[in-house]
Amino acid sequence: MMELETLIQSFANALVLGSIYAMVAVGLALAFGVMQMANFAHGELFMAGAYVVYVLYSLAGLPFFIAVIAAFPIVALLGVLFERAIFRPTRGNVLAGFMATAGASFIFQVLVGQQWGVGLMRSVPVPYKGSAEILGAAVSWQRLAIIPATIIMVGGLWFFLKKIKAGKALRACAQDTEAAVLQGISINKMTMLAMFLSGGFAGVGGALMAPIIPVTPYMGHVYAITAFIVVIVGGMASIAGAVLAAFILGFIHTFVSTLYDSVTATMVGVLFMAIVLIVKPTGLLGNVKV
Amino acid sequence: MLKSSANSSVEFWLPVFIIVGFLCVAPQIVSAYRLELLTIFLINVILAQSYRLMTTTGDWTLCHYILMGVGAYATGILAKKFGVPFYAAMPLAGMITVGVSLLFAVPLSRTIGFAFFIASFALGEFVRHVWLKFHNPFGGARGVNGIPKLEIGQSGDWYFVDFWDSTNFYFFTLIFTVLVLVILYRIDRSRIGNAWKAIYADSELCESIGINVTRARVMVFCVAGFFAGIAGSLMAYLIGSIDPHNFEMVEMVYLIIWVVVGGVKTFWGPLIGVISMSLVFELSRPLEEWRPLLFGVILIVFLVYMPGGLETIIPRFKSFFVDLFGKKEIS
Amino acid sequence: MSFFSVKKLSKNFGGLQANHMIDLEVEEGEIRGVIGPNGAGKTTFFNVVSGFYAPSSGTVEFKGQVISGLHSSKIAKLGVVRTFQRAALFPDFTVLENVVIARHLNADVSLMNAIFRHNNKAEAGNLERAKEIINFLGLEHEQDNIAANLSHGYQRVLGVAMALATEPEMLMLDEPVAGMNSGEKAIMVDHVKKIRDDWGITVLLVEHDMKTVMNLCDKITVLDFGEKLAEGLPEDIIHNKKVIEAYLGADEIVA
Repeated sequence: MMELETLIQSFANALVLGSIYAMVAVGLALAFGVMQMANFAHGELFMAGAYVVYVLYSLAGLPFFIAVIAAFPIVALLGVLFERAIFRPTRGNVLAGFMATAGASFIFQVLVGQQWGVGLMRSVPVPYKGSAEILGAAVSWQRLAIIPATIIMVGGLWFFLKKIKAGKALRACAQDTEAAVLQGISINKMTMLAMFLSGGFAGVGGALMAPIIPVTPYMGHVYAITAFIVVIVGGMASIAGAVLAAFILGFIHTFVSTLYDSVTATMVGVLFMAIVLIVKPTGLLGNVKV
Repeated sequence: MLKSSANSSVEFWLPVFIIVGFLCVAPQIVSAYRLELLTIFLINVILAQSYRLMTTTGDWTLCHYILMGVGAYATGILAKKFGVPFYAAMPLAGMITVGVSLLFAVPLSRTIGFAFFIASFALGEFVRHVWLKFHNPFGGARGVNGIPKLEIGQSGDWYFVDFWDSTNFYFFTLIFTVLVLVILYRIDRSRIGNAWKAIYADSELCESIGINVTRARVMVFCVAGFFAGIAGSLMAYLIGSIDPHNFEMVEMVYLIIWVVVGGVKTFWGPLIGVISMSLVFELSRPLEEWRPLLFGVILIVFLVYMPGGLETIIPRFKSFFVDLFGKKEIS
Repeated sequence: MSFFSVKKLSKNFGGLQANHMIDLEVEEGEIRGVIGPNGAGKTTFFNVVSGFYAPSSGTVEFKGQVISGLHSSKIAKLGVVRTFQRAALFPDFTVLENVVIARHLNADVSLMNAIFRHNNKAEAGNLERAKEIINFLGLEHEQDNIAANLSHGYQRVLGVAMALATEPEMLMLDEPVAGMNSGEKAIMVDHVKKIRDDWGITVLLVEHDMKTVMNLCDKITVLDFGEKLAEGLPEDIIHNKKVIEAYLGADEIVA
C-alpha cells in the first residue's frame, strides 16, 4: 500500500506531529487538572510563541534557538495574565472561564493582526536547513529537531511534577484541592503556576513550528482544537494521557493525510474521539468524569 | 414558575405585541438592505431561543451553529437538486437536523459538563469537514449555490406571493419566528419544560421519581436541533447559497455572546441578547477589523461581571416603573 | 412469589467488600427496618437495593421481576421509589410545584401535549392528587412556599411527598429522621405509619435512630460488617446477644 520511503517519511512526520500535539496538549491538561481552567485561547498562546520567533529571529535577527527559549517565559507570562484576568474571577465555573477565553482569543487575534498584518502570512526563514536521509526518505532537520525538544521539555515537566516541591504541590492541588489548602498550599499560586507552564509549553510549541507552518493570527486555531481533542481522548486531567493521545492522534492524522487528505484525517480523528467517548467516557488514562 | 395562566399570558403576549407591532411597520421605514438584516435578525432570534431550550437542562453545546448549517444544506440540496417545494423541504430539513442531533447525542450523552461541551464542538467540526470534503452533494469548499427562491403559486394565481420582493420573505420569516416563539414558550412552561429545569436542579432526584434523565437530555437536544434546522432552512432561502466557511467556530461564539449577554434563565433573555448585540454589531461597523476585539471584551466583561446576563436587571426596571407609576406589580 | 426479595446480595468497591451474601425478604404491607452499627454497610445496601448501584452479585427482585441493575427511573416506574437523606427537592419551585413535577410518571409527557395542551384533564387530576398528598403529610400551610425556604424537617417531608406522588407500591426511606428534633421525628413516624396503614404502601427504611426504628418497624434486619447479623421482631432484636455485642460501646440501643 505504501512505499518504504513514504512509510519512513510518514512515520517521522507522525513523531513530529505527535510531539507538537503533546507540547500543546500537556499544558491544557495541566491547567485543567489543577483547577478546571479550560483555555479556549490556548491556540492563541501557541500563536504568540510563533510571533515571538517571528519578531526576535525574523525581524531582530537573534539566533533561532534563543528566540525559542525566549518564547517560554514571554508566553508563560501571557498565561498568567489569563489566570488573573479571566480564570480567577470565574473560578468554579468551567464554562464561564472557557467562554471568556473565547473572548480573549478574539482580542488577541485582532491585536496581533493589527500589529503585524493579517493578509499575508509572515514567513520565518528556516534555521536548520537540509534534511536527514533515513533509508531513502528525506525528513527536514527543522522538523526532526522538534522531537528532542519535546522530549526535553516534557521530561523536564515530569521531573518538575515528581521531584520538585512546587510541582508536587501542583499535583496535590489537582488531586484534592481542599486537602492541598489544608497543607498550606496557596491555590492562587498554584493556578498561576499552572497557567505559567501551560502558556510556556504552548508558546514553545508555536515557536518551534514558526519556520514550518504559515505564521498568521489564526494559526493557533487548528492546534487548539486538536489539543482539546487530545486532552479528551487522553483523559481530561491526565498529563500522561495527553502525551499518549497526542502520539496516537499524531499518527492517525499523518497516515490518513498521506493516504487520503487532511480533511479526512481530521474527520477520522474526531471519529476516534467519539469512539473513545462511547467506550470509555473518562478517556484513555483518565479516571475523573468531567 | 407555575404562574396562573392569566399572568403568564400577559408576560408573553405583551412583549410579543410590542415587538411584532414594530416589526410589522418596519418595511415602511427601512431600506431593502436593512430589511434583509432584519430578516437575518429574526432568524438569529429563532436560533438563540432554540439554544436556550437546551440550556434549561444545563447542557451548553458548541455545535448548535453547525446544526443550523445542517438544516441549511438539507434545504438547499432538497430545493435545488430535487426541486422539493418549501412546505416539504423545511420540515424535512428540520427532521434531518433532528437525525444528526440524535447521532451526536450517542457519544454526547456519555459525557457531562465540560467534556460534553468540547465533544459537541468536535462533532460539529466533523460535520463541517464532511461539507468541505464531499463535493457531491455539498459542493465542497464552494458550497451550494443557486438555491431557488421560495415559491407560493404562480404569477396569475390569486394566492401568488412574489418572493423576489424581500418584504414578502421578511413577513414569511416574521410569521415563522412568532410561531416558533409560541411553540418554544409553551414547551418551556409545560410539564416537560419544568422537568428539564428539574433535571438541572437535581438530576439524581429526577431519576428517583421516574424521569429518565438521559432520554430527556437527548430529547432537548433534538428539539433544539429541529428549530436550529428551521433557522438554517430560512437562511438558505434568504441568502440563496451556502458557504461552509460561514459556519466556523467564530459564528458559534457570537451565538454564545447573544445568550450570555441576554441571559437564559428567563424566556426572553436570548431575545434581549440578540437585539442588543445586533445593535452593537451594526453601530460598530466603523470599527472594521477591531470589531471582534469589541465583542471579545463584551463577552469577558459579561461573564466576569454579569454572568446572568441583561435579563437580571429587568426586575430592577420593572420595579422602577412600578414605583414611577404606582401600579400593582404585574409579576 | 414474594413481594420484595434480596437474594445473596454482594457489593464490592475495588478491594472493599461492603455487602456480602445478604438475603432479605419483605412482605407486602410490611414496614421493615435495616439497622447496624457504623460501617455495617447499610448505606451501600440501601443504594444497591434502591437501584443506585448495581450489585456485584446476587439479585433484587420486586414482585418476581429482577430490578437490580435497572436504571433508577425504570425501577421507579415499576413501583419502587426511594427518598434521600439529603434535602432533595427543586429549590426554585414551590412545594406544590415540586409535587406536581413528581407526578411525572402519571402525566402525559409527550411533546405534542406540551405544545397543544390537549390533555388538560389529566393535568388537573395530577394537581388534585398533589394537593391530596400534601394534605396527607400536613404540608398544606407551606403549599405555595418556595421549597428552598422550608425548614429541614419539612424539606424531608417534601421528599416523602414527592416519592408518594409517583404512586409507589414500595417506598424506601434513607434515614428518614436524620437531622430532626424529637418533635419532627414523631411527626415523620406518624406519616410513615399512615402511609402503610391508609395507603397500603410497603416500606423499607435504613436508620440509625433506635427509638424510631423500634417504634415504627414490624420487623428489623441487622447488618454488621456487610453481612446479615440478625433478623426478627423488634423486641427480639433488642435482646439479641449478637446485636448487643455489635453495638457494644455505642450508646445507641435504648435498653
